Amino acid sequence: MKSLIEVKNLSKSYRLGQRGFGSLRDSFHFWWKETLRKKSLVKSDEVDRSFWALRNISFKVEPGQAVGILGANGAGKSTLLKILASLTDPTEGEALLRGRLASILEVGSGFHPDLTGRENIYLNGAFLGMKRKEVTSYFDAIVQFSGNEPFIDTPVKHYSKGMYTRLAFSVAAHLSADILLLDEVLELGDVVFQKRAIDKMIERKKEGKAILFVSHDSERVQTLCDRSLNLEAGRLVFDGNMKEGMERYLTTAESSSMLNT
Amino acid sequence: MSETFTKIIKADKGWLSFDLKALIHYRDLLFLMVRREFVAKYKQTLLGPVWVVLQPSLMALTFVFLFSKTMKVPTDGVPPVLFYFSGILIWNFLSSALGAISVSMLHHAELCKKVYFPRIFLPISLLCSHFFSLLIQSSVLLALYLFFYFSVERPVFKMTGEIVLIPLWLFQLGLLSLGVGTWVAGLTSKYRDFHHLTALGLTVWMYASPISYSLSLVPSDWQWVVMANPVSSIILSFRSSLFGTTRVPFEMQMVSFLVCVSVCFSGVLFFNRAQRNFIDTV
Repeated sequence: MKSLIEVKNLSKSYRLGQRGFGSLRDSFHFWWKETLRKKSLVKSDEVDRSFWALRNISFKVEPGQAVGILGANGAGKSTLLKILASLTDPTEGEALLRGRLASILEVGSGFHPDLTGRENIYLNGAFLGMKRKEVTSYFDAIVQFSGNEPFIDTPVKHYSKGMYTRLAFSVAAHLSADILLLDEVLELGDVVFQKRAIDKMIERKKEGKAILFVSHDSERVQTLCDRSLNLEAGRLVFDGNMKEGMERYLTTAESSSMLNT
Repeated sequence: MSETFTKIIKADKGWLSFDLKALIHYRDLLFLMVRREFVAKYKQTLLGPVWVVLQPSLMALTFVFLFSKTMKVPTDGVPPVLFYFSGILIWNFLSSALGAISVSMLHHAELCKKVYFPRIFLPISLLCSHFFSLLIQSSVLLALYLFFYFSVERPVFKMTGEIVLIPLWLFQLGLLSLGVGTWVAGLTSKYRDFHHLTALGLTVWMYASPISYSLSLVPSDWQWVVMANPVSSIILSFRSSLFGTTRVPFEMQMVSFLVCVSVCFSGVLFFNRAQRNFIDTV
């Protein structure tokens, strides 16, 4: 079987420094600085520098694999998911996705407080790439999973926070995608719901989906994932089984926190 | 797993890369977005969609009082309230749709950071919901039109076969609103300056459009200013199709139409380009 995800030499850079963001004035300012710099009137300490959020990342993910992405804050975990989710373009390299992709970087995307639970299920499902027919076929399962049956025709602004997140997660959990990207969304709701959420994802994995999971909860990552990708400052430093990856991550995290203190 | 969903993500896709497969796949979303736009606007209001007709009606009455009763501006033999209402209908669509589209990307920045969907649906759904409002407003125009046509012994205006051309003018209006709106949205996503410029620009543009005056009142040396404005042709053609007043020269209609098409085409391309790395700069 072919890999569901093939990432080749993926890099993403952001511009830092004086490059004008926000207003025309900034842009003119930058352009003026650059002109002066070219005529060597000003020292070049204010030119734009590039910051590589991701550098030369390559990996493959096979069907039925759940991969945990480990790394400190700013290591590039979310950037990687954003590129795979088509939210932003890579600067170099490419990624090949075989199959439908669903990115759950937050729950309840597109939810409108004035619309009812029912209406929001359809809306959110559509934002996640589901067709109307699909939402209809999963509708009862979604509502049941959320445990919000009595309130399904109430505007979601009257929901408690727990009810809201449960409903929002339930839509995402029923996506019929082949590739799932999860960014710290299994930590929502109470303990009972979290257990159900993880079980649901393990079930998806067994169905042959590919899952990429970002979380700071080491226990949860280890429950779901059998493989780990470790990122450090935008580079892929480890690709292997979860246990080793987690050890490596914890060691580097500890040593860097020692350095900081 | 099906091969039809295979997707390659890479840098630099050029100006013309449109993910057409996604547009088709997400078509149900467009309908839901239009509905969300419309429903959300009027939930928790007492009058609901009545606001849609109240606003242009009050504006038309103000114009009648100000220009017709006080300043005695002639309206080409058309009953003043009809004359103004028809102009306001077109202008309001342009200004409100354009205004909404121009901030659509910024307003949905949080959504854009978290979920992928064809971004062009943001302006298109707004365009659709504004057309829906226009439809409701048109019922008032129609009622007034029929009232003036049948109640007065000798109708003051002619109903001609050209009335069937109205959808064409509205289509042109949609192109122009979408085009200018997407241009401003693309520019605003990078430079907030354009947000301030929009309000000012719309005010100037309104006075440069024949809403409260007819073209015959403009000195012939200055008529080109009005004619150069692509909305003018739409407003004047809309009126001439309704009331059988002087027709807009064909050349001017063609020029206006071509301007609208090219503004729309370039605006959509520009928007598509601007949205791509929008979340990196917002």
